[in-house]
Amino acid sequence: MSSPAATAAASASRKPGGLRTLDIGRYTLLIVLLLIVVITAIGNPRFLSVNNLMNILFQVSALGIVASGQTILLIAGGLDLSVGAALSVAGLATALTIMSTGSVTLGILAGVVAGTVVGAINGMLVATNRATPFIITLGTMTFLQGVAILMSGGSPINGTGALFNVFGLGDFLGVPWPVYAMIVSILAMFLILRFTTLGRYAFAIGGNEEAARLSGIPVRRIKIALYALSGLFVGVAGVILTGILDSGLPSMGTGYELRAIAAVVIGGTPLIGGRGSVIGTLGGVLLLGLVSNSMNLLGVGANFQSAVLGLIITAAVLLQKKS
Amino acid sequence: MNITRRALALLALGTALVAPGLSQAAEKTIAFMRGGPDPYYQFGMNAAQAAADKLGVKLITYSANNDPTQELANVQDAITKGVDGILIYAVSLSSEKAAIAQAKKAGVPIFFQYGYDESILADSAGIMQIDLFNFGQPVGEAIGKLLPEGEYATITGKLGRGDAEAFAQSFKNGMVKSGSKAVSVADLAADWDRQKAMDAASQILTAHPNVKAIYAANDDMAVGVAIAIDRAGKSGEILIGGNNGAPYGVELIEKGQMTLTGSNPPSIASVHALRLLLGVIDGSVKPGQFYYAPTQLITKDNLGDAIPWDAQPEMVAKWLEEPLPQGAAPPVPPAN
Repeated sequence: MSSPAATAAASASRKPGGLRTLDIGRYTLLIVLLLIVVITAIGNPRFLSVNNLMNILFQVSALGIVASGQTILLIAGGLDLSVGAALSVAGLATALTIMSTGSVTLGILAGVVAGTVVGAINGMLVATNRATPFIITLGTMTFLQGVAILMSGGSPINGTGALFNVFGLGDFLGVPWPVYAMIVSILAMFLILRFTTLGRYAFAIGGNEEAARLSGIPVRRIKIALYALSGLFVGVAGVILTGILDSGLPSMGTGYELRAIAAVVIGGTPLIGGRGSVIGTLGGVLLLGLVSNSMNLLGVGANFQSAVLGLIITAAVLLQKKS
Repeated sequence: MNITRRALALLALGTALVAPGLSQAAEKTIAFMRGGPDPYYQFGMNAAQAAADKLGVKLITYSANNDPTQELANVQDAITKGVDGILIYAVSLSSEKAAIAQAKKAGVPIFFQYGYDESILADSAGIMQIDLFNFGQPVGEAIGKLLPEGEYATITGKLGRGDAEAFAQSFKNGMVKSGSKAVSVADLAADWDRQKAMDAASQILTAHPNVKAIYAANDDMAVGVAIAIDRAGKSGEILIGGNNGAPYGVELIEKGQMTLTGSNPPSIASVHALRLLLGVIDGSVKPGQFYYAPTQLITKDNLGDAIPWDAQPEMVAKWLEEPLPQGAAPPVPPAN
């Protein structure tokens, strides 16, 4: 690729202490994760059973896929608050298509296309307006929540047939299919960030958008592509979650936007962009899943769980910042 | 010019003659307000609409999208429109108080479905809801009879409003009342959400592999619990008690994946609430009374008699022939 672009990307990733901070951040997260694992394993030996570990991965699979897509957006200095609502729309598109055509293949296609289209529209709005992605996607989030209610009539769309048999009940070598989907998503995002022009451009735009523009990077087009890519991941997550729940629900994506952003930030990607890693995001996703699982296994009262979860997330982020 | 004047005079005369007749035949207009997009409200609204059509009442619908400010705006808009009464599922107690103040000032009767508070009853056209403090009890009693001993767990809704806590506690009270010696091994909250309930149930099954019954405080969560049990390969081994009698809950019972549910159908409740409000408007019903919403325990044995959420017009017509519910003493929180 053109050397100016490469230079911009390289300068973005060579910010003073950038790499060092990321590494230490990753270690901090690892330490927190290990602490949770050790404490919970002592408190309840069943925690370390293969069945429970698979349950944790299964439970965070949809979040992991959404967070993977959100990672590249945050690296590029973007943000998409509409991913939760888009997840609901994609899931409903899947369920409604299966219900009306009987075809699971068409249902999957409908969900993935819906997610990608929503992402591309967000990208166009963000790329062609001066308003911040936060405000723009807040607007699309509200719009999509309404669309989800209109699509579903406010009620669950039940029955996804083979989709439930695969994603809800199915596994391969003891590993549930949604877990494979999450691994593939994370791997795909890792490869995109590491080895593609799009990935390098994302770092460059997040590092210094103006410098990226001056160095010849087509910032607008790249932004649209990044949001569409994130939307594609959301669409896949919507299809999988619909399969897991055997239904499309207007509220199925509620809260996903904040949990996905939290996972990415906990994983070491700053909200201002310019650096980050999808492996870190995986750590963030696992932290969220582990905390919830360990509290339930340790018998922490429901009244305390929210407070404890908040404390652990805050502590993890603060420890990273300090380092 | 003269022709125009004459035409105007004739028009004025015609209007003067016809207008009284029009106003006498004018239908009642009721504003139906939903707190949010919840299916429960949607089905309640559908049944009220069917009843309104049969009664010759015009129903204008509003949704607050769970926003108290929007709810107040809806109330004000409805009053400005000149509605005869308001039938509302309120967002919160604070918004109820604001709504009742507005309605009282305008002299518009306002009837609440859910959200009972002693402070608003006297100023309302009436309040109808279930006994929140004992809603889970019949489910607990029924599950307790099926589970004389062993372990059970509860998964309830979003904590903090009191209803989720009350449902779980009343279920446990029902278990005790049934004479069951079964012990509670886990109490989790899943925010009324299907996916969270599925995750919670998975964790319960991991931590307590011998659990023999799980109570889910609504049928949406019961679906999640059933999926978790299915995934664990324990279908048919664990009793599931739900609440609400939602279509997907009834479907689970039909399939044999859920044992029973304590139903509080929004359909029949909304129809009766509308009738009571119309009674208050025409003076035949005393305002400011509390009414219990209809409830029903649904098992595989009485599926045919289950009151559906999605009521057909002929069923609504039948409910319109039933005697009106009678006012009753409001529920009181348990002493503990």
